[in-house]
Amino acid sequence: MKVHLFIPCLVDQFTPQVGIACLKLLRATGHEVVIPTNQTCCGQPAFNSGFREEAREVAYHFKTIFHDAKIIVGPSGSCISMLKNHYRELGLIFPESVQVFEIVDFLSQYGQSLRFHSSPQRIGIHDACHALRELKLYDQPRELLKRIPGLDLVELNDGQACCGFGGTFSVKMAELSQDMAREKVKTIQAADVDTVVSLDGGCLMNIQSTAEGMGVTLHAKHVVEVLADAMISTGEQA
Amino acid sequence: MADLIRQFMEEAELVHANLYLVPRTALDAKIAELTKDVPSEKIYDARNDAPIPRDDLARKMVGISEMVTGIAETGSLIVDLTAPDHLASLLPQRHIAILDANKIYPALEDYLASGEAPLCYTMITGPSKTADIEKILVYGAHGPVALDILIYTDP
Amino acid sequence: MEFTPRSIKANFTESLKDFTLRKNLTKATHHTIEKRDALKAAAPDWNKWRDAAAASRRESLLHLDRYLAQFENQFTALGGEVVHATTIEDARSKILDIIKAENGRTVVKAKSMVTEELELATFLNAQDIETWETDLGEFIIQLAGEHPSHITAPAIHKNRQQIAQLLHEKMGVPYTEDPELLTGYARQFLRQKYLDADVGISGGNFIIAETGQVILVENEANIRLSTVLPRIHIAVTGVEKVVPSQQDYANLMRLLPASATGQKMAGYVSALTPGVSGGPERMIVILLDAGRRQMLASEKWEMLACIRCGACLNVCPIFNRGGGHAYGSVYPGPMGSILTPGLSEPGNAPDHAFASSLCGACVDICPVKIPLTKLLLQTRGDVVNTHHKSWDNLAERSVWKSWSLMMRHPGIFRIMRWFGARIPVRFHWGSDARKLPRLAKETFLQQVRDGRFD
Repeated sequence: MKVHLFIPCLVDQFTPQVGIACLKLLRATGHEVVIPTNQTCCGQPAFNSGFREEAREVAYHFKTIFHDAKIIVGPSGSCISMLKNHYRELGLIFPESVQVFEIVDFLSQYGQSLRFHSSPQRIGIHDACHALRELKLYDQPRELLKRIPGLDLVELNDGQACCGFGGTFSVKMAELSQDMAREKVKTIQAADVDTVVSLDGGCLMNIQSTAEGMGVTLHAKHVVEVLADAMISTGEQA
Repeated sequence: MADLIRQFMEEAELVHANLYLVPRTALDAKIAELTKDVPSEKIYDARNDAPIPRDDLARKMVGISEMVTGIAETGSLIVDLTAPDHLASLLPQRHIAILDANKIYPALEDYLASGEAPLCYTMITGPSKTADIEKILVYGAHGPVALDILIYTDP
Repeated sequence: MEFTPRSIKANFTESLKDFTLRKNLTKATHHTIEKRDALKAAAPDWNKWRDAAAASRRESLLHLDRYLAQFENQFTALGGEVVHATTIEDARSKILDIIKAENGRTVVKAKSMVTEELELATFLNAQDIETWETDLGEFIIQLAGEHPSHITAPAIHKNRQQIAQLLHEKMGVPYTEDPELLTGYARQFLRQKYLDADVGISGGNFIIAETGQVILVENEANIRLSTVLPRIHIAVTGVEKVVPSQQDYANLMRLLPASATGQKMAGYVSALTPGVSGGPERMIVILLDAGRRQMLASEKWEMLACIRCGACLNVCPIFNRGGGHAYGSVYPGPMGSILTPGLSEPGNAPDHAFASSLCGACVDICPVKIPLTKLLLQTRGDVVNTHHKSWDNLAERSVWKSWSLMMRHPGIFRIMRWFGARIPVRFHWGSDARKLPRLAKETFLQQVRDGRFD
């Protein structure tokens, strides 16, 4: 299948390795990957801040850039939910023929051919709010990660509690946001893991930065980073 | 019907009511047994006693009255507020509710659909309670501290 | 509905440091959620009930006038009186007129959020009408001279030591931390009030169009006592509380107590019309608009489906860090952040809708499926558009305008990034410990453009 890869702005700017992991996994599953290089942002930051006019301008730009896409795949629950659920609130609607997936959702459906080598590690999982509640992605990341031999996936206490990112909430209500993030880091520490995975660039950046501020050593990764690291590449598989 | 009675009793027990299942003929003996430590002037039996002023009723230790219906799903009792005996379920310290086993409905919606429900009623589920202090459950907030339910059957 | 002029942000700054408050709150809310979750898990039909409840509430709202007229016809045919109040002031003065005309001196009041909107007890007491809150939590709040901090559990911000001290000081009862004894003191004090009161005032959880019944839900029996003992019963309710039929109400009762307090059924559910034996001579229903029709005409109309269970407060990570007082409005939490500006104007409580991380836990738990995050986002849009003249707003808009320009012109975006990546310091992100991460040396898209993956 021909897949258009959407790399959300935060991911592109701060964690390009997540984009590389997506590309690796999509190619390994035999899909043709198109990456529109003039893509920027889906418009979510302004939308969530109440600036709908500006959000619509940027969302319209996004739609123009992806105008010939039939399948759009990207790593980040909230950005994908923006496309799937909130564009229509801005009066922008994708044609019925266009399918939009968070990459983990896509791989859980079309990534059966992926094979993984053993990777013994303890990893905690934080359910990103929009991936969990707006895209209903709960089993998908767990099932994919459990396909990695030796990987010990640990559920966090109160794993579905918000990390406190919330886009501009983290700036406008910084103290509340930080308090929530600290609590999240503490539950990750309590789970005795030094890597935590999630499905949203925002949560990952928030958790990583908060951990650093607290002097806690922690690696916050998108699920695809762990999958790509443990993937047996096509050459090896033969 | 046995299933409905069982379900009613289980649910009502969960909400802290005391349940007794007796044949109709043993009803009075059971009430006497339950109230043996209460002076008779402290008991108001709405089935037999003449109406008394509400201030007096509020000083009674035990109020006895017959319920119009039971709801099995939640172990609830229906009090008909259009009948003069309804305050016996509210003002005394302890309420002894009498219920005909034939009058138990599976759920509130069934009872309402039956057309039997009075226009004014209270559905009672357990004794009066509050959890307004630290969510700790306390019985006897403003209404009865204890609720005994006597279900009678026809042999 | 007034709110404290101090910003919600400043309130949370303070509440975040109040660990006693936070502990009191989370202990109570988590306890309720656990019980609610257990009930849901044991009810295979939960989602069916929830779908039906959501549909029923919307049916009422879509034909509001028809159902209200039907209710009024039924209720008046039974001898009841219906009074329409357009504003809070209107409702207050009409209630006062009724009480004065009846020469009423003492009022016992049941817990009701609509009467909190009216600040009715305070208003009546100021008019020399002795008015007592009878719900234990509300009674505690009245003694403390505070406002409720939660819509179903008004005093959850207080622990038993604080309540013990309060009752000791205000009622002169011996200091005790035993909840049973504390409850007993309140019971004893209020018992005589019910018997002596001329007027009982309640809210109305639902009013049924089909039958003209007013439904009241409680656990303590204070509502029963307040509504059947006095000469006059006044039920104050918002126009949106009408439900079409008894079956709609029966279904809602499967969700309301479970969502509100984690009970399968509330202790007492009363269906009232005139005709209670030995009951009030007059029963009057005050139908309050106070911004509801305005909200019904807006895109936030679904908020009026709310049945005031408070579940969205219990799951809200923000609410749990400050309680209702941090919001400073009658209705706190997610529902309150939509209702407060929605029932008045966006300028009322402009920051409330921004006090949310949009996590959506409230949407998942809402028994009538109100899309709370969507409505919070709409409220944010309203605030931005009506506050367009404030300096903060103008400044923020210019930021978003520039952002939009940059995002629509990837070339400009890339140049800005080139500069951004060369800033040697790391910016603080809100407060001290958290700092914005460094920009990556090369973006993913740059690497693609460079042909790194061809």
